[in-house]
Amino acid sequence: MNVDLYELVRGPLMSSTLILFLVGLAFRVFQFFKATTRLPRTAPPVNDRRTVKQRVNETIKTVPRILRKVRIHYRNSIFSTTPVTMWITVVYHVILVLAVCFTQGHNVLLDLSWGFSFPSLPEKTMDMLTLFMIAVSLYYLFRRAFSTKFKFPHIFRDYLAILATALPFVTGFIAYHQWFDYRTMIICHMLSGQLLLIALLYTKLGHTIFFFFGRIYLHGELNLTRGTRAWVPDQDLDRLPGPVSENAIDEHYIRHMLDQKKTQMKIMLQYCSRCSNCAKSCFLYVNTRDASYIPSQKVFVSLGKLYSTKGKVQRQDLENMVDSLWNKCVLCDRCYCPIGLKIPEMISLARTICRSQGVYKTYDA
Amino acid sequence: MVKAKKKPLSELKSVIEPYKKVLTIGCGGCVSICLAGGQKEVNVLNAELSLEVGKGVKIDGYTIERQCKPLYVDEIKEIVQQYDCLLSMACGAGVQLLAETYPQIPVFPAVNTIAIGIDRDVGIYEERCRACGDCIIGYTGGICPITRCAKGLFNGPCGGVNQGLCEVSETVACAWVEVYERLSSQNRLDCIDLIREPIAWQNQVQRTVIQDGY
Ligand code: SF4
Ligand code: SF4
Ligand code: SF4
Repeated sequence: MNVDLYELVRGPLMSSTLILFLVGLAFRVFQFFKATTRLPRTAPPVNDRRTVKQRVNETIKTVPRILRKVRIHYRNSIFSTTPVTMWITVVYHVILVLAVCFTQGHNVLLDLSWGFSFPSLPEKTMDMLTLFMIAVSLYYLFRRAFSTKFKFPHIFRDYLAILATALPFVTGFIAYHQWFDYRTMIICHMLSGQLLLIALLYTKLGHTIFFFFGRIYLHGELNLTRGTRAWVPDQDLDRLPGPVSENAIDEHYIRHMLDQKKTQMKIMLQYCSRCSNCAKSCFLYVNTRDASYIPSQKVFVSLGKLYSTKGKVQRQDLENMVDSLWNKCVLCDRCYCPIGLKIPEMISLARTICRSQGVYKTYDA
Repeated sequence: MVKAKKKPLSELKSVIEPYKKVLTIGCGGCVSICLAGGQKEVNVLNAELSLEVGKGVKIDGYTIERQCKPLYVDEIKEIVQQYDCLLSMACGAGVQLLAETYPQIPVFPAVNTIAIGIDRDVGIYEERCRACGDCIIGYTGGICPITRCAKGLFNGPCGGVNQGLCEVSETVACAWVEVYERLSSQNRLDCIDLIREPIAWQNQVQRTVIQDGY
């Protein structure tokens, strides 16, 4: 029986998962390109009359200045303010890819099934890296449980995400050392790995993939390249909100506004990994050190709530958002998210929705 | 809205030279949006200044919501007492309110306030308004001739227009030709015939702010 299950998981299930993953990935890429548009170049190319030699010479002269800029930039980046967490996180993500592609066991299977394989890392190295991954997962769990920066609603999902990523490593480690029953363990390992692949597309673990869109393709102050694309709404607003009544709110209109930017906002809400790295870019958080000032927190209690309830909210719910949306954010447009989510856009949509129902901050009180 | 650009580092360095404890104060309003004086710029400026002046000088930073509102400027009254000079990264209005609120401490601007403008792209801003105090763009098709016309003419165009270009340069479009075209496309050419009484304004060239980036 166990043999059959093993063959089933290794053979058909593995192939279908991989195919599902590739199809899903293609869909995500398609979705991203459909929800964004290519920006026209704003600055015309400058007519540069310098020769190549002159240009090279001038570039060499700017090297010290560039190095200095890099140094200052680094000193003000999250790699300098939270070095331990950031470096661990980068290494963690790199190992994740290494582990999938360059483990000997995976390559042997790949060779058997499809007749090709990647080079493999030595088993001893992989063993150490796996231990590192498990340790980092514990660190993440610990941080989420005890740091004040992680008081999100629905926190359970955040733990689940860390566990889901750690599970293939734990089972793989146990199977490699042949503790307990090897077959059961390797089946668990394969199943958890397949689960992770699928979760990579449909849960917030997708931030790993979105990073490339968010920081490279999207246009913005904080991008790694001169991004060329910007989000476009799914549909245009076609009417103005009706007159505001005392107690009731216009759910249809809220729904209309939510649908208008649905793809973009849902992608951003879903892929926020709730790492709270945006915290220190918000001067209001830095001044208060109060977790409710963390940009992503402000988004979750407002826009997150509107989307999760599909706009079926009470007037009181909107009024409860005023504090987060107006008192705790000045919409200065400067939140930094390492995976490229545009928090100010989310906050401003939530503000617009509140305002359409006559809920906003009054300055005359 | 208000667009500003950071002053050259050498100027700021010489300004703070006599002082040992410097507080750089950012503004979360307009200057944050135009990448000139928000929290990030405060951090970058402080890092640059500390490289220049070396150890022994205490340079700290703090960003408040808006420096043009007494409520927010008052917030830091306990903090500013610990410093012997303040560098304000807000626009000219913010700097002046800060200086007025804390008259015993020298306050220096860290940015040059340039214009009231629009965001053309990240880090690229164009002036659109001179705050002349008598807005006429309702009659000029939504184009401000004071900002856009090289001579800032209230009534135009002048005789210097040549095939849609201004006589001051071959690269400057005549704002009044644009006014004419927009009004004519809206069938409102009668507006261009209205004679506007002169007001007292400063004649300046149109400016575009381009941030250098980090
Ligand atoms: S918005 Fe970005 S930085 Fe903030 S918690 Fe979400 S993923 Fe992290
Ligand atoms: S836009 Fe709002 S959340 Fe973002 S940094 Fe500014 S004040 Fe903070
Ligand atoms: S102080 Fe100047 S830059 Fe700051 S919010 Fe006020 S007008 Fe804008």
